[in-house]
Amino acid sequence: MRDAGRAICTAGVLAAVVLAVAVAPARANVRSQALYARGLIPFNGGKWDDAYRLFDRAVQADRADAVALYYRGLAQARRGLSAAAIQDMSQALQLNPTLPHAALDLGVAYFDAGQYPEAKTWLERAHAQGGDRPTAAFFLGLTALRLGDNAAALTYFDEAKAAPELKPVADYYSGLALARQGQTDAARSALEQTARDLPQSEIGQVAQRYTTTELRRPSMPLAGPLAKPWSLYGSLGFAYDSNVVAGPSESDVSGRPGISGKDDGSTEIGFGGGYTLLDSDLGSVRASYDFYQSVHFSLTEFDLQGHRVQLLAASAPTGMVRYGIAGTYDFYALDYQSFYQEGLGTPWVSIAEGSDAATQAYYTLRGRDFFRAPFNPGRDSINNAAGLRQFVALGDPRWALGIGYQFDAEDTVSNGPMGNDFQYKGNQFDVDVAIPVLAETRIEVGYLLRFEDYQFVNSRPNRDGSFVRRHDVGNRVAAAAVHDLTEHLALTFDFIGIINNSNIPNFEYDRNIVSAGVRVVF
Amino acid sequence: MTRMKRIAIVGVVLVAVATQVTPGRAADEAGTVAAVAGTLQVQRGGRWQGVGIGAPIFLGDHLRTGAGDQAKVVLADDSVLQLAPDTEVALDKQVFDPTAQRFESLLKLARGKVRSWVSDYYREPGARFEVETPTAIAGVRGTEFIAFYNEGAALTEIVGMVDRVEVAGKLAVIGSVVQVGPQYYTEVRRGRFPSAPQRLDDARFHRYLEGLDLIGTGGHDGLSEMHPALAGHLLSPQDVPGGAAGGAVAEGLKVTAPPEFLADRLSPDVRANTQPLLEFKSVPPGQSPKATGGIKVGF
Repeated sequence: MRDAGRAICTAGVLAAVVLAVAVAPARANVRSQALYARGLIPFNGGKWDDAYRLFDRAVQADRADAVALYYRGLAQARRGLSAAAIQDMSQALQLNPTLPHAALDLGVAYFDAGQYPEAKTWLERAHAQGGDRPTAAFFLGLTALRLGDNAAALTYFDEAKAAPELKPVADYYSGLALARQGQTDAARSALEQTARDLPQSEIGQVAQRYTTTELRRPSMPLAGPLAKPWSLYGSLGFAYDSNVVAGPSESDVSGRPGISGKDDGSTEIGFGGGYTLLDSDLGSVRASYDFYQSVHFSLTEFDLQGHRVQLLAASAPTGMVRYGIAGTYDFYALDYQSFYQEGLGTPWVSIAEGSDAATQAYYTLRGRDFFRAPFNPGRDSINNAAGLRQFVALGDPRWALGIGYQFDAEDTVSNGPMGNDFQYKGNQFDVDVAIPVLAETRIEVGYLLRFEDYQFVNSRPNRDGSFVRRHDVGNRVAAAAVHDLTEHLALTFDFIGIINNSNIPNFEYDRNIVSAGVRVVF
Repeated sequence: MTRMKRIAIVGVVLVAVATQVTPGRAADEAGTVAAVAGTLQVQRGGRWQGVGIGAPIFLGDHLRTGAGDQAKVVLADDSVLQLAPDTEVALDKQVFDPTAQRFESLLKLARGKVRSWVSDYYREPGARFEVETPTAIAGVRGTEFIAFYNEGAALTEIVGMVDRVEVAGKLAVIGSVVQVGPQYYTEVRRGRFPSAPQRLDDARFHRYLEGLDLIGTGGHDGLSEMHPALAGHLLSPQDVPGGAAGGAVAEGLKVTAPPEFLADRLSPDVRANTQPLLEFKSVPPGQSPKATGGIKVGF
């Protein structure tokens, strides 16, 4: 009898426990519903902190309440806590994979956090679910732009344009993608549409400014990365050089005394092009070739011909860190005879600080080989350089400031008198600013200060006739202006000023070059 | 009367006034609008007027939604009502006095569908939360259910969501009361007792949930809908066609190979100047170009 009573008692306790467990979620759910509903009131009023507190209590009341979790995530996102927002929305979607709008918002949260691959995954899911298809397409387009996939971006923006409320902004970003692809006419059309539809918005004003200025200026030599896979250019100009200083091709210079210090004019011809060999999610590879020829009016032995071949490989610009390597081969002929050749290799890495600044570190190994005496082998050298460079946007994204420092060591191959004379360690600082001025004109200005400390006592005397190590301080100023006449034709005007001070008079010189020309780009 | 006594009396009066005002206001303000998709109208003083989120709901107010409208109201007792489209309901009675442990609410559903989340206060003994239609009364003690009244057919349907709902017909005589559990339903026609509860298959159950799918405020809650990109704001300097000068700055992530100094970029002639001028500017020590026929250099 006692056992039967105990059994009944145990069963009663178990039943009570089962009942309690069964009822507990229901109680929590009602409590959660009330707190969630109360949270909607401050949420609707933009009081994100108050809304967060109520949604948080709702989640505490029922941790399986997907809607409360989702709204706590939305409140977190509005409070700027994107990681917490992503966590809440992810959890909400685990609880309820079809929770309306949640996949789209999680994708947008990832996009806002700069996590584009994750954004793409969730936006694609929202796109497939269909409920928010045009909006999902729009954000997929933005994500594709960030990932450098302009073709995919265009497809998504075209789909987003089906929604009238999305069309003006989708037009703008289509224009951006088209401009990056080099389709300037189509880009102009899309951007002009945005400028008409949203004249007071930021993108409307940018579109207005860009369609009246930038799109007519693709020939800018300083312009940004080329969007289409190929490019071609040609240039013709005239230059005045106050001091033609490059050495002539002949080793026997006795018949050409007093060259330095003479001024002369020249015609300058250039052409070249580039082709993007690879452009994927992983990175890009681009090859280019440049030709240059100067033809002097009188000092024809200083006619310089240059051939440059470059190969640039870089990782895709999808994260905070980007890296790459640049390889360059230069060949120069002086007076139409071989002068020297050199090869340069530059691995580099850049770290973005937000979207307005970046720091770059690089190392350059350069080998230079002269073909003829007296420079071969006396001036043949290996140069090791390492530098840091800071890029900063100056409010208007078209304004750019670059500040750099570089250390380099020139190790001449020969240890004879000429070799010893030119072995040095150098430090240089430079600053460079690119500024859009008038509607169709852009100017870039740069200044470089360079110190060279030579490693051996020089074979030339200093001012008091003694022989000492050479120390130079060089100043270089350069300015370039480009004025677009048409989409493919531009006028160029350049100035270069060089003042080289040295403790040994032989190495002191000034040089000023002024040039003007036309440039054709396709 | 001393000064201290006067202060004490004034204090007592103020406390008395305060204690009188607080329950009175709580009794009048029965709830708050938490969400509206479309339009929610309130009849107060004989006039219908639209109300928005955060608007107070008073005892005696009639609420109605039109076709395609939905709304959610959170009551002072933490119960939540969700109104489906084409619904009219009145808050006829509310006693919410946690001190005295008195909790009573009566909603009169004139037409349409209401989903109720009834707060835990109604689990207390003697507490009562009722939804009354022209043909039935549904009473619960802390649960969740749907009440649907079809005005044309004079038919009430009650669907249990969680726990049990007690449903009775509105007859002059005491009749059977049925208990409706989760995913069960009963119907009450005019002048009849409730039908025996029947289990709903999933398809029918979800049909009762139609029109009760309001999530959030009913407005633009999502990150996408309030996103600055859609308002025409520039998200980043990267989004300016052409990017920054040199393509390096505004497209901070797109910094490419280190650029040469501007002078070297502009002029291969400057770039190729490797200081050989010295050989032509000066005469090496002890040498004469004219005498030797050339510069003598040693390696």
